[in-house]
Amino acid sequence: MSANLRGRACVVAVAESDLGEVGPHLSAADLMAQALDRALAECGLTKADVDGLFSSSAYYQMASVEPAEYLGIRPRYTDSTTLGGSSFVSHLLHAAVALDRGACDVAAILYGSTQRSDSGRLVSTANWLPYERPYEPRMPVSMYAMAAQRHMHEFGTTREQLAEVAVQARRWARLNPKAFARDPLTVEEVSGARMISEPFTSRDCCLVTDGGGAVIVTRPDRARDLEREPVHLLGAGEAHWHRHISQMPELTTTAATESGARAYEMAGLRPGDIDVFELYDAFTINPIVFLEDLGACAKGEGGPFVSGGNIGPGGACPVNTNGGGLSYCHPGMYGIFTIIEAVRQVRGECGERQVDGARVALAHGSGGVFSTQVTSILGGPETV
Amino acid sequence: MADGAAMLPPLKAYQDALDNGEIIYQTCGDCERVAFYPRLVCPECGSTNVVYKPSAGKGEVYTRTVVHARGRDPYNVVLIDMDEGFRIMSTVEDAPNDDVRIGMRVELKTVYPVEEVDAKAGRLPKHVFRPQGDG
Repeated sequence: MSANLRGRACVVAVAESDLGEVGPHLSAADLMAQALDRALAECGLTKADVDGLFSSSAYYQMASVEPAEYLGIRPRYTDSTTLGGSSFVSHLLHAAVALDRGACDVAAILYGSTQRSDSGRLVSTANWLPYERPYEPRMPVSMYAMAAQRHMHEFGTTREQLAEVAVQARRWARLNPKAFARDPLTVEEVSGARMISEPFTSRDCCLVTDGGGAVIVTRPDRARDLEREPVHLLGAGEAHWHRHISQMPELTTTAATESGARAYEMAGLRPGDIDVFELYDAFTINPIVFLEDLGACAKGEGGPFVSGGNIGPGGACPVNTNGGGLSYCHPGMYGIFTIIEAVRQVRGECGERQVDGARVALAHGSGGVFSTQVTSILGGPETV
Repeated sequence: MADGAAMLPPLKAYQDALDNGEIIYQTCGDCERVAFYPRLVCPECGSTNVVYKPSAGKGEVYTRTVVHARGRDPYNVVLIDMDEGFRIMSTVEDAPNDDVRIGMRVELKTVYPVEEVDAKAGRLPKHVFRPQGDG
């Protein structure tokens, strides 16, 4: 028996902090404050309305406590759940549960990181398995590289198909004024870039940027009085099967098969009903595997599926319409940005990169080394 | 070694086996599940009736990568499916990185000691593999 949360919570505001490289003097908490301020302004709520606080951080061990102190928020519901990059999608699910139970009325999900400006004294929460550490895989790129290598072996996925993911992300980023990397990018440039961990070059890997985000969630009754049309949570699910790569059952299939199935079941929707996919793309293999695991294509067909512009602007299956972690923004834990872009696509406010008629968007977070998978499905008012 | 070693904490048992040039794994005395890394309980059925066993040291490369780091030669990292039914991370020596491929048969070559062991931090003796010879 799963909690039926369909239509019980809605996102009423989303915002980013300054992105890119914010300089040495701003902190991760500063970026959370920027993002929350902008999100509150968007929906017309105030800080005093926020009584549920959700955050995860590589900087702050008590992730929801640090920004609460900074912002002067005394939440009655607090959640520092840390699942790596998927944490914020998990927070969305947890916020829906808390809101539905009346444990809070207005939930704020916050993230901030100054990873780029801090380079050289990078904060790391890397959690090594003693049985893996002596072999010095480069964390986490080598783990995903090994998954890509296995996918290529089992299904014939090619170097060019991996590169296509980066190229299509860049095509989207060129339509997004906030994207960090907007120069044209070709398959040859991706394949020929500096090798990091075979088969990945530097262009198969996400950006290192600064950035923060805020997402405000409340119940539909509360949302009625607010300035923006709410975007409803139709379904969500989370799952994890392993923490370390040597413990992953098969490197070509993730727990997104379960998190996705749970989200679809709650939403009463199928993969074909999704208009836009926002998928955590730390590396080029990720969207390929997630499109398979979330049912957009069959297992093993992800390589051909991402090719030929199918996932790019004008393609049949738009993926990572903001440019993703590969070209838009990646401050370390990207998950919150999948929600932000999904909400904006459903609202229809994405300008040049807007997917025509997008009414249902899927935001999927991944954390660790393909470890934690959290799927959410968001839709406009008429989809509830 | 099963009875005596079974009383050892898992990381210590693993370390001691490496000191003897061996890799250990576990089987569950109740459900027969094979497990690696070693644990105090079976990850299948939860039984504490788990037994350390030495591996014959042979297996097949499940996947691989080659790390290109600045200031050192590229080196391979592999996951190996061992014949006993468990998977471990290691590296393959005595073969060019390009020849270390998925499906390749490999065998334990040796275990390199480390100067100062800190098992919890992963400063452990390091097992390395090589392409499997005839027989």
